[in-house]
Amino acid sequence: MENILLGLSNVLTITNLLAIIVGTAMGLFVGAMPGLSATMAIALLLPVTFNMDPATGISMLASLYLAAMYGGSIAAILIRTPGTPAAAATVLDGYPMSQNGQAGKALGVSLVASLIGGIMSSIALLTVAPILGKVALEFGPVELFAVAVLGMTIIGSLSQGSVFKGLLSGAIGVMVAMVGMDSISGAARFTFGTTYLLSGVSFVVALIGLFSIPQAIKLIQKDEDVVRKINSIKDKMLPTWTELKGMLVTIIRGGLIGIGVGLVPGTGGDTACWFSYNEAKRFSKDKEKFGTGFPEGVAAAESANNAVVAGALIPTLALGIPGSSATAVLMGALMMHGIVPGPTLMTEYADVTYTLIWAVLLANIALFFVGLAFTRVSIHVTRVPNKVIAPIIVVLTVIGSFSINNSIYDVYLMFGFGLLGYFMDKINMQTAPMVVGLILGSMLGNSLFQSLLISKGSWLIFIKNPISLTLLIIALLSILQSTPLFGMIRRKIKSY
Amino acid sequence: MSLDMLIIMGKRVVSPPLFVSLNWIILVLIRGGRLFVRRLVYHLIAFMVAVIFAVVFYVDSLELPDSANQLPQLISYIIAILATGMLISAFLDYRKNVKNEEEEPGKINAMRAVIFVGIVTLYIFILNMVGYFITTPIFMLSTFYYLKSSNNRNIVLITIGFILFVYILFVKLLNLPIPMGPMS
Repeated sequence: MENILLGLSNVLTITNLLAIIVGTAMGLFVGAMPGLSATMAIALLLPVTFNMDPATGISMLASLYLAAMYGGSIAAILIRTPGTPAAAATVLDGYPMSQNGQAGKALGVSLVASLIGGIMSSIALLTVAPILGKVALEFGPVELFAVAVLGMTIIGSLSQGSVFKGLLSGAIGVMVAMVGMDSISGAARFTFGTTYLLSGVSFVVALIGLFSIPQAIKLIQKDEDVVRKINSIKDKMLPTWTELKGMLVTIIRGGLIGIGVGLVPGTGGDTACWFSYNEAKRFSKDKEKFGTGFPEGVAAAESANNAVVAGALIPTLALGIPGSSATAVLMGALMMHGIVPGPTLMTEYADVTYTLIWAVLLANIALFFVGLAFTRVSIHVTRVPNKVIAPIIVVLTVIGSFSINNSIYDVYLMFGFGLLGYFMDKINMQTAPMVVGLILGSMLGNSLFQSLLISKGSWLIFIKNPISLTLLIIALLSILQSTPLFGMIRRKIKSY
Repeated sequence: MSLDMLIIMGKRVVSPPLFVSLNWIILVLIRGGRLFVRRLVYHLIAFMVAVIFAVVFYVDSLELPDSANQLPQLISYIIAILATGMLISAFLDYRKNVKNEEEEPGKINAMRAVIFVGIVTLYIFILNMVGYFITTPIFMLSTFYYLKSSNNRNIVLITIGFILFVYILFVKLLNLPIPMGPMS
């Protein structure tokens, strides 16, 4: 409780409030640009926070993430191109609305739904994360190892593409995390004789490359569609009270779906918005209106994708397991400031963590006002061509990767990871599990070593411990559910 | 059509899909082929890269003390198993697609991507010698020009504006280290 109040008093300083407002404004514009995703925006703006106080920097990045979720709906509504993947379902009703001359109202509904969904999930974060954190604090190395394994298998098997590729991507990430001086024995591991690799592969360098370079290449290799027609905002933005009351149930349902989806590692805003949209349609009395410019459709998708942000932060902060690529980048920002992810985040680093939680809550409110003020202006950035954005992305990745350690080798490494990410994309292999593997690698290594020390080298310790056994069984199930084997069993059961 | 036929550039080349030769891989890479053929080749390469990666790390870990090699050796096995699984499912997909003759998706400009990557590579290698604030405008102008991003006036304005923005934000306000080259 006192930590919660400490966080509140921390966040209410002028610097932090300013950081939240600046973060939200940047997120709004970045989200509105169709070529930039929220994750990449956080990765590119990491260097801006290098010299900041950790709490201020991370608050700014979290606000940016949140605002990018709303920003994505601007392009979705006005030009039918979702600014971020999480706004894909917003297009269905948002674009028809703007064609009917209701662009302003569509954006207003999106803003209000984002506010309510976001606040709901921030409250969930503020209440659930400390409880979960307390449980996690009781965990020894055996349980921690199981938690990390579970995090890896869930993100590997739930992310798009085949389960083999997801898990392989994660396993390679863990292996790369092993490079450098081993923290237990002091041995130089996989440095192949170079001193540069002795300090390990910088996680932030890898992530900037993996999330930005592939996107930059993809932006330029396709020819752009002929001049996009942009619908303008002519009407009033805010919905009336009666209109709002009509869709309140949908918004709240969307918020709950967003929190739930956010909690599960490997799923994010894109899953949540479709889930919520479909549920809203299923429960609605006017099913046939969905897809024709029905405000409730926009509300369903937008409350869910904003609720994901704080929902995904719950496992990230309480257990140190990032649930999505964007939270992985936020975790990277924490690591850059020397904060080690894990169950101690809620206690040892309580000042930073609770400031972040409050910042997310306040960012929802800031987003509402920033959105009202700047949405009309942000329409212009939806016009920026992809071929202008791509070289700018490259230039920013260079600054980001160089300034971490003042090293040109980091720039080469970043670009190497970028090309790797591009080829991974060619075979439809996700980069997010690799990034999570890079984060969890050292936690896996240390907890495995300590566990085997306790058990005197017997691997059975993970099965004898009830908590770790349960977690490992869930991990196994998460893999099996995405294999054909499970589908066969499911069909068998159905046929009886 | 027999399952054992492969199609490269519209020509059908007989080759048993379970014993793909290196020649064949190189042939597809150079001459291109239908989407599902290329996809199989990409998966083969990914499999080889992953296995080589696992083997190199496994061999390297043999010289490490026990505490430092437990996890890496475990992960090596896992990588090898997963890569094999990936390859098998890629073959199964391939066989399915040979039957279905799926449609090609929208074409991408591969040459443009290669040239773009080339320019970026050149940029980051010259960067350290000449300095960020000399190479970056050149890089931006030349890529914008090559990509025909906008008209010449806009290209110059965007470049100048962006360089000023970077200088003020990262150098003046945030004091971040930037490779300055001889200017430092």
